[in-house]
Amino acid sequence: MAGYLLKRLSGAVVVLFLTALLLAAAVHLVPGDPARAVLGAHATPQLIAQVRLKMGLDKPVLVQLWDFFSGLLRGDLGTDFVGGVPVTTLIGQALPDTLALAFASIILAVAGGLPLGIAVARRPGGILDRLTHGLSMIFVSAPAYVTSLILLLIFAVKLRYLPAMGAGQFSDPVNYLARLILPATALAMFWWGYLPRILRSTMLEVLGTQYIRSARAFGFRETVIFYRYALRNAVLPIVALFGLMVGYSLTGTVFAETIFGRSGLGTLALSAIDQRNWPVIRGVVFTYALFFIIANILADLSYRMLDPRVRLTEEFETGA
Amino acid sequence: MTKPLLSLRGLDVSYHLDGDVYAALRDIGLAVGPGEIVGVVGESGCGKSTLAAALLRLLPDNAEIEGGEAWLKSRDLLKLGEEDLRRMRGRDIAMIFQDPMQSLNPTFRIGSQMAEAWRSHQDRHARFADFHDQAVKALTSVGIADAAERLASYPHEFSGGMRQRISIATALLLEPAILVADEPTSALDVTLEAQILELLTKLREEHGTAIVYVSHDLGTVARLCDRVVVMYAGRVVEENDAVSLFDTPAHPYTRALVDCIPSRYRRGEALATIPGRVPSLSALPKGCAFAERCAMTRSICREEAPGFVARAGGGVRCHMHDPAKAEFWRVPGRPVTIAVPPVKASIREPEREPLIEARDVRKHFGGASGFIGKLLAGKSKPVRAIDGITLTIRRGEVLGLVGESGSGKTTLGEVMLRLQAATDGEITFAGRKLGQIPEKEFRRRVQMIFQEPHSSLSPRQRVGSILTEPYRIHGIAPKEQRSVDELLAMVGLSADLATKFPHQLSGGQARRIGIARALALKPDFIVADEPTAGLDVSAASAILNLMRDLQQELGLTFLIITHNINLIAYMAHRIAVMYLGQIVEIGPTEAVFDRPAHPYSAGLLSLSSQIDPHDRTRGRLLVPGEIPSPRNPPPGCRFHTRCVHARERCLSEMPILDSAGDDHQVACHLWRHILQEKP
Repeated sequence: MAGYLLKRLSGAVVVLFLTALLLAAAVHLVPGDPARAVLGAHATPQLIAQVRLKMGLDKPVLVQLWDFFSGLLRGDLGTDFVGGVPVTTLIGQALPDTLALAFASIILAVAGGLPLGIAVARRPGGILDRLTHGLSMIFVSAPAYVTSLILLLIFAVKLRYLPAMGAGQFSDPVNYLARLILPATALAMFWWGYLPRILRSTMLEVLGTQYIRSARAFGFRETVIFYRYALRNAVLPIVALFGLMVGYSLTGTVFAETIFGRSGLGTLALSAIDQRNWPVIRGVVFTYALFFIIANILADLSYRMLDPRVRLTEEFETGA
Repeated sequence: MTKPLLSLRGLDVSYHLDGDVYAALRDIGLAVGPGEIVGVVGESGCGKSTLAAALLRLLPDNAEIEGGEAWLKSRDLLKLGEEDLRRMRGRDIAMIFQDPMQSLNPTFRIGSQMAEAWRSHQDRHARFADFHDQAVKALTSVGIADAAERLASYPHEFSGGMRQRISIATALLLEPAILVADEPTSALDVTLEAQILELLTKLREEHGTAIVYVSHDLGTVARLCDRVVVMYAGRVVEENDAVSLFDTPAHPYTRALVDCIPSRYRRGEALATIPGRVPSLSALPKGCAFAERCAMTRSICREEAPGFVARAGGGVRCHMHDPAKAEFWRVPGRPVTIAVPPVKASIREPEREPLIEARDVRKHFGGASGFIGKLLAGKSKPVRAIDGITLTIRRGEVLGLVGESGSGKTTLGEVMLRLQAATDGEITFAGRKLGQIPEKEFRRRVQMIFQEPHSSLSPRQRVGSILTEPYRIHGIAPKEQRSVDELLAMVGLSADLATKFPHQLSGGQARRIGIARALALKPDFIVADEPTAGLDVSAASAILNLMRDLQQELGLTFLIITHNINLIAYMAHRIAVMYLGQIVEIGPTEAVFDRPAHPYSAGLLSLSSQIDPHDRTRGRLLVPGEIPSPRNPPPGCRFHTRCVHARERCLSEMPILDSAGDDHQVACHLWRHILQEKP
């Protein structure tokens, strides 16, 4: 187990390193001089030179890379060009709102998607199955910015049940939660369409296996067969989807935050891109990558906990 | 018979598929007495498994039980409510299935699965401690060591044979009056099959459990069962006690099934075959369903469906045995007998000249090679699939290679054809070293008949194109080519198959196409890997007849790889017995069968079919345990971990092949001693 974790973590470090490398290269790959891009077309050459010096763009590329990595190890992601605030501070301010949104949307997705999938698998071909079949098409194909706008229009503008704009403050939890509901729902809807279909098909597959037939032959109760025996195996592929879910939620937050006027990583990234604020872009993308990797490692670990066969093959392969 | 335990009457089951109705079972009657073992046999598609599943009402959703009754403990299983039926399943009537690798839930510990089965039949107050003691007892009695600890193991930590034991132990826990076993050993090696059959016999003796044993393998049925029911196209065609049924089969179908089976007593004879196929259950003929394939058919067979004629010990569904219809078969002055296949006794002896020779050949997988490889591999050991094999096959010889799965048989075949490079050793073909023969020339002269007939044929090519592909690859001049029709005729197939795709062929037909393709280039040497695996007995016997005829006519040299001992006994001039990558005994078929010198061969060969009356009284030597991993073969004699004769010396010193008679060699320290010990 420890060997496996070590292997995964070292893999994660390599991915983060490559991400940083790509980001550093991106500064030099976009057309035009970053300093000029920041200052606009009418800047004097002196001012540009000054800014280049401040940005460290006068140094050789390798030295710039080294500066970035050594800063990274000290927990320093550089300084915002525009406001002069450390990037870590900006991210620290934006992160909680984004994490709250992503987390809430995943909880909603699972809390809605799994029970629905179970109910559908209980009676394949029933009314619920046919109903969700059509709806899931719509849910899966509607992008987050469309669902966000529709929810906003219906529940905040027309019905006025929930607040429309802003993320609120942690100090007022009820208000904060109320402001989470719409954006989180908008992001969860995709999974409400997707999860039940997957669970339905994996469940039907598992229910058709020989070991379920064998369990019936030994007189197992149907509820035991369905909820204990079959469900665990049917949920396994969904656990593997968890990493993907986190990725989808994080990218979705960019839309949801913009549409619902929330502060967060997404809005931070968007404004930084607008301003060609490279250190901030770099920091935000790096944070996204970090969470994506963590989510995938967690998904793999829980898969291993649930499926004993995977454990064995891993041990066999690593010689542990 | 005393009052039967299970009494099944008039069972009709139909499958509904795409608007068609398939008459899977019609008018099935079956009585099983307490502690009785009843065998159900027949080709695939005859309804055996449907019958087994119907007894527990475990049929798929598109099946419908249309009529009949099944009385067990004064209750009709077919009419019970769901909850009552559930309570009877497992406790009164349990079932074990064909594929032990798939009949346990992979993500639950076996203890948890057994506990669930147990709890399903207990009231709320059941105590775990009671279960634990019983489970340990049950597992121990089916031969699982350290049962208390193994309860916490997952299914994948057990071998296939062990998993089948666990299923039996679970049944044991519930003490059902009757156990339905649907092909319980079909996925297992002969040695493990013998162990499981032994276990079933023990179950009957110690617990009085009655068993319904469903199998396509007449050999195991003959050995295990008291009474046998033969099924054909969804009907019972014959029922009798096992001895009478196999000695004097009454129904032409039963007769043919028994005569299909290869054995050493049929060497040189053509085996019986059953032409055609089981008719489609959605369009059964008006008369007898077997009439189209029967050698005894008369006009009445096609007009009127035969009724079940009761006879001593059971009955038979055939007009021929109906006294009222006997005149159709009466030939003046002769009694009614069933046609016996023509005897064609001839065995073509091989020439003296060796065709292919292997000297000290090894094949190791996953071993470290080179400095970097060794560095990365660390301590991991290679899998020693073949470990020092020396073997000579003469021109025109049929050498049979037997051994359990994991003994390295297939790898040896592939290495001899250079489909895999040997790690070490030397192979000589027709006097030249394998390395010196150009690839293309070698491929022309050797061929392989693969184990999986369908997956070794390209699904996108038509049969005609598949058969002529060797000519295109090797650029054979048209006048030297055989035509597609010729090739098809050679393997007994009609010319219209040439335009078919592989998925349109039956298993037997696909196998013949594989053989025809192998023969297209007139090869000198053919490796046939499990040439009859997965085929019904009738299709298998036709393939064997074909291989035998071709061998005799063309003087082909064959290496036949199989775990089917009867096949080897029937076909091979010589037998080589493999164990963990080494040959432990090799010699002429007769000699190895009559005087097996190695304890492993003696055990393995004793497990051959017991259909023939000469064999039925013969004892069987169980080979205990399972084959160890070739990654970590035992030191000394590799067989010592399973050998009852093993001594001090066997644990440390590896035996080498030693002459045990004319052309007969054995690798055992004690073979002289063991031979003398025999009665």
